Amino acid sequence: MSENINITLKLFAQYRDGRFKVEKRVYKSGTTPQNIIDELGITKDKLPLGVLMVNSKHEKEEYILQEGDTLALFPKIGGG
Amino acid sequence: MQKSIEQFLIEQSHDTFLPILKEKEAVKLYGLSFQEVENIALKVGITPLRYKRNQSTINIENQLKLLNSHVAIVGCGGLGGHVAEILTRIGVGNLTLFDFDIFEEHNLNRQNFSNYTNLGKQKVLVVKEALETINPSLHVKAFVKKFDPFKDTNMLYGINVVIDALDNPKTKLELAFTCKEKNIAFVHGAIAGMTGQFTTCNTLENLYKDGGYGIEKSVGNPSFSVTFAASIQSAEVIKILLNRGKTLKNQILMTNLAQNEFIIL
Repeated sequence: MSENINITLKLFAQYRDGRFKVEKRVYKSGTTPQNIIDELGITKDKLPLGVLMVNSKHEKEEYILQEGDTLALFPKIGGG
Repeated sequence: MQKSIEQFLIEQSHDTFLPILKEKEAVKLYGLSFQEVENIALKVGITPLRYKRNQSTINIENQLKLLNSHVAIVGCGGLGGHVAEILTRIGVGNLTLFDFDIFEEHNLNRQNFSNYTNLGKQKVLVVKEALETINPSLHVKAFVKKFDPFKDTNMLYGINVVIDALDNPKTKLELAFTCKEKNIAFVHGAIAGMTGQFTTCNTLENLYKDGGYGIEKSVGNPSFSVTFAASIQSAEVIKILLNRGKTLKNQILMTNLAQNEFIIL
């Protein structure tokens, strides 16, 4: 069974460059944050991933997204 | 018979404020350190004049608390150098600094106390010297070493708050872990470009999935991001030491100066 799910994507900081701030997209059920990260290509150009949240909760890249989820992606910030 | 130091300080103060020259006299007359003199002064309601504009944000009781507080700053580059100055000016009495590195030309855009005449010098030694000219009651220990969060935990003995001013996720993760384990207050800050992140008394697994570098390697660190971040971290320290306000305990603050976004996660 291959249902579709509606996901709200929120990108922060440099991840927005040439992309968007917030966007609603439709994905196949079973999609993970990692699939979306790959699709968007956000971690290319030496911009590794920092915080990953689904509905304001910390989750892993392998989390299976659910209908109506909001995925927020922040770049990794490590300078001092 | 020599009058008591309390009486001397009361007599020499103006409107409950003690000028540095009179403090210096007391140091000489009574054979005490500036920090000892200030402890006595604050206990009898006299504030060193240099703290006049701290009031009433910092009252006399809090000023005394800060004087006897001890903060460790791990990393003395961008964040560390500025945090060190802010804490010195507000009156934190004891600082321990760690950094193995020397000032280099590419530090000049943001690192406090670096200038073109001290390139090549050990950061912590330059910073210590500069801090001591700002506030004579400050006791500062400077260690030219790469702090190892697992092997050097004994060096955190007696420390009230540890500042994460490191420049790499790997050591940041380790330091946060050690502080959690030792139950020492820990103030995390990190920057990259115009963005920053902050959290207090937390481990950092949710921020760093691994110890690899972040985006700072490609976007750099401009001066205003550094001083902004140092201010946030310093405010966290003061709130912890004085047990007031609301800290970022169990919260993450994400900032983006490019868009004026300040988000609490």
